[in-house]
Amino acid sequence: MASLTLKINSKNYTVNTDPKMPLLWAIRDIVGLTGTKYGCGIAQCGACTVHLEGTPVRSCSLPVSAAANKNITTIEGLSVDNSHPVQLAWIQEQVPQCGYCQSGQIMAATALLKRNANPTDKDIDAAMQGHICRCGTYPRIRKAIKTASQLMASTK
Amino acid sequence: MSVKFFACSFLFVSICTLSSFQRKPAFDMKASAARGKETYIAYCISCHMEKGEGIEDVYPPLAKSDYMMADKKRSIQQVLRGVTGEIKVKGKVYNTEMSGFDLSDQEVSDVLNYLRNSFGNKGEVVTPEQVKALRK
Repeated sequence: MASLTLKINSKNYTVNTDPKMPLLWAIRDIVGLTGTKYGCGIAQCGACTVHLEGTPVRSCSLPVSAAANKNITTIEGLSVDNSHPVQLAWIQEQVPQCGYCQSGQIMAATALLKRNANPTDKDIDAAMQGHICRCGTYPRIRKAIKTASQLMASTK
Repeated sequence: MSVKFFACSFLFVSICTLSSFQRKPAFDMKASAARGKETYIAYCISCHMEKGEGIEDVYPPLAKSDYMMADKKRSIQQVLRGVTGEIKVKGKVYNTEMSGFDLSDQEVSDVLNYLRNSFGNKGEVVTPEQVKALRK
């Protein structure tokens, strides 16, 4: 057991836990932020994606100790009222069907747009390839990323 | 007569040699590495991180990686087929499974050219042909 500080969405949390426990467990079960989902547990599906110092990582296979004292952003940290351009675009394009993978999709899309404000279809496909959606909402995800890109440009 | 003949043959051979060089341009390492960076961002960054630093005890670093730079052929095979079991990188043992990637010969070549010439690494070119040869 170890006492670790987690900086999640600009708030500090002290957790007392096995340092090898996956970060996702700490986020969901200890801190209580359940927006981030458990999908496959082996970093293959993308559902558990959060940002670690701005880089999208798979929280299901990252030991909590590796994220200690680093800035973590979860889906709850994008905005308090769903007003982040990517969230607005997701609502506008009605992207989710069952919605289970969408937190991960949105976190990946946000990271992509931060790096590339105007991505092409090819850029989107490449950046989102590690995020699986069993409902097959991929065309709407692609559309929403473009909508978000426009929203971001118009609010600049 | 014979001087003329030799001069002509020499000219012919020189032209052939030059044009064959022209037909096969040198491998554009810079362009390959630039494409490879995009592949790295899409496929590798979520574990190996932005500057190839990896994550302590879990995902081995690619930056200044003695392990990666020691064997080009092994790296190609690892990108294609993945890695299982213990490996020692910069004096530390890692044992995290990496799955293989469904990438084209050029994409594998590009991403390795990026990795092998970034983050403090310096290595010779990996060509798509070398990747193709290791698929079998």
